[in-house]
Amino acid sequence: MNETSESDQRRFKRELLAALPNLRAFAVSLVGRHDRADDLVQDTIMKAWAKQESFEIGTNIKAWLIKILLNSFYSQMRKNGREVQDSDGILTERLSVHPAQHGALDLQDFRNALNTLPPDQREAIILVGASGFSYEEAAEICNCAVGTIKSRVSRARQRLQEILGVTGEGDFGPDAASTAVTSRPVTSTSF
Amino acid sequence: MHENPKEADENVPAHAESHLIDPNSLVSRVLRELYDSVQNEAIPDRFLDLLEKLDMAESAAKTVDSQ
Repeated sequence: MNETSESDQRRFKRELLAALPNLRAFAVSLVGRHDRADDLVQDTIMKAWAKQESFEIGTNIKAWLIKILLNSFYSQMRKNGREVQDSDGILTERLSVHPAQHGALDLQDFRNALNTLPPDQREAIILVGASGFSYEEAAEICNCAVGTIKSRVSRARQRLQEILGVTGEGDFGPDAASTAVTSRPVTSTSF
Repeated sequence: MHENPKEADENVPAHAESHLIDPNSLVSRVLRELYDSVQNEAIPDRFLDLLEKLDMAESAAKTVDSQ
């Protein structure tokens, strides 16, 4: 009798494990720091485990996990009053003296810039720009309208371009930046 | 003529939104680079241990239940 629930649990664990690298990538991109991101991930794993019955096997576990993580993230933020940032002027100082060189953007500069965005914009641009979710999926995850996601993404992108001193699209050819990413197809893997 | 890829592109509604975040823009590429760099890291032991513990706790609870 326990046979089915046993194998469901096993399957859930397997899916959870497979989705972990993606969940961490989302968390680190969102939070900006590995240690705090990993605390969030740990919290998410425990919550996800506790309510695994509510996960419908066959649906997108990545989206489900990210939703749980975002809930924790925002409730922590509410508890702390505001987001704990890497403190004071360090970021702004670094940011203002680091215009992007052609085709070469320092990852750390980018992280810092990302961290200055309001969390809802960060969340939106990461979901759509890196996690590979569609606008519709992102809206579902964030529990808001598709139009809201679009405008958050758009504002986030504009702000990042300003901070990093990058103007509109097309300034850099695909081969201008020798990042590993460029050789990959546009990620739209929704698994 | 119907195979003209440019024309086909223009007919896909999804592409109307592509100006919002151009996947080839520098910002998009660096964002994905950051994301992928974390995604490619090995899963830290603390999470593997945690899952192991959760799994064991649950199995133990079930064994007690069925006795």
